[in-house]
Amino acid sequence: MDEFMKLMIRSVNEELTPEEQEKLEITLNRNPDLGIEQRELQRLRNNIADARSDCFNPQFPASVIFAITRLESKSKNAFEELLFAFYRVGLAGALACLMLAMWTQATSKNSVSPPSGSIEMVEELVELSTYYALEEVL
Amino acid sequence: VSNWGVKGVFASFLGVPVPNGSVCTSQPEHSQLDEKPSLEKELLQSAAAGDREAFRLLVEKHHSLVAATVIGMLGHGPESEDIGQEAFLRMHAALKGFRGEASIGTYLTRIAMNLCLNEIRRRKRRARFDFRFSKSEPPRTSDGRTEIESMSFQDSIRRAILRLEPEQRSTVVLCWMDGHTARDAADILGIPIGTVLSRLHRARKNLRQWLAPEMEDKHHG
Repeated sequence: MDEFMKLMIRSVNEELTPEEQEKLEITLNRNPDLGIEQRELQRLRNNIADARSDCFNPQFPASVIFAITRLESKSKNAFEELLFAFYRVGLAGALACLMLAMWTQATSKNSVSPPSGSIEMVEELVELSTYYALEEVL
Repeated sequence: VSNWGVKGVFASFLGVPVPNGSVCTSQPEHSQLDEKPSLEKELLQSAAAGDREAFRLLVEKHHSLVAATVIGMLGHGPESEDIGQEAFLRMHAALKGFRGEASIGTYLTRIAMNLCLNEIRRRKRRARFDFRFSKSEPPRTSDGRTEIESMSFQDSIRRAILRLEPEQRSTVVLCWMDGHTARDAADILGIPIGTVLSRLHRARKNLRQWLAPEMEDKHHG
């Protein structure tokens, strides 16, 4: 594409510098066919500008704000849920650790004959809290 | 100036909310907001600090620019509005990092244009797998004419623009529809100005060919 064509295309849409304008006019005066072409281009550009449509739904701005509010509350809820889940997992885990510690204590102190039923009970408690902790995670 | 003060000034400048509920304009807007960049900056800061009302005013101001870009690229339809909304959501998410190097209008147009080009690519991929797409008959109106035959001149122009390759279409929409200069269009699209001009040149050839009968009728009629 030659320099003249670039100037002609720019001229239908924006103001050229005085030098550019002069250059364009000299070429147009020399060749009347190019003048016709320029007017045609200007007409096409004007018709395109007239065909511009910028109508969204009248409620568009409100719908954007609604979407932002919904997105933010969604992310806030997700964070709270995550926090709550971790809290419960943490609690169940702590309980499991406590039970394990108790069980270890009981077995080490009574290495010869542990009190009947106490080990089974602690084992059961450890299993139970582990189960709840896993359930929260999964 | 307090936030509410700024918003009050804005509301009076922009005349929002629009009394009759209409959000349409037929030509690019050049309101006093363009001459008050400091006010827009304050509004941006308020919006970044979580002020919804400030952001709503920004949407009121700029949505027609986004609409023109999106509708010019994709035509009318629910997807266009979704993309317009997505452009504002992305802008809202990036408010805190917005440094104001480009004007907010240019920034939004860039986001909207990228979303449109992605949507066009997505549609192309989808159309490749949709056999019905290529076999379908053009829709007919109640008097039996095809949709194309019964279109107004402006519809013909919009239709012809939608026929252009996305690269040519984007430059036509930005420069000839939205009124951006070639340099602005080059900035928005991230391409050299020479490429913008050569795309416009090719687009013009295509449009002249497709619209020749309508242009003749309009010129003589």
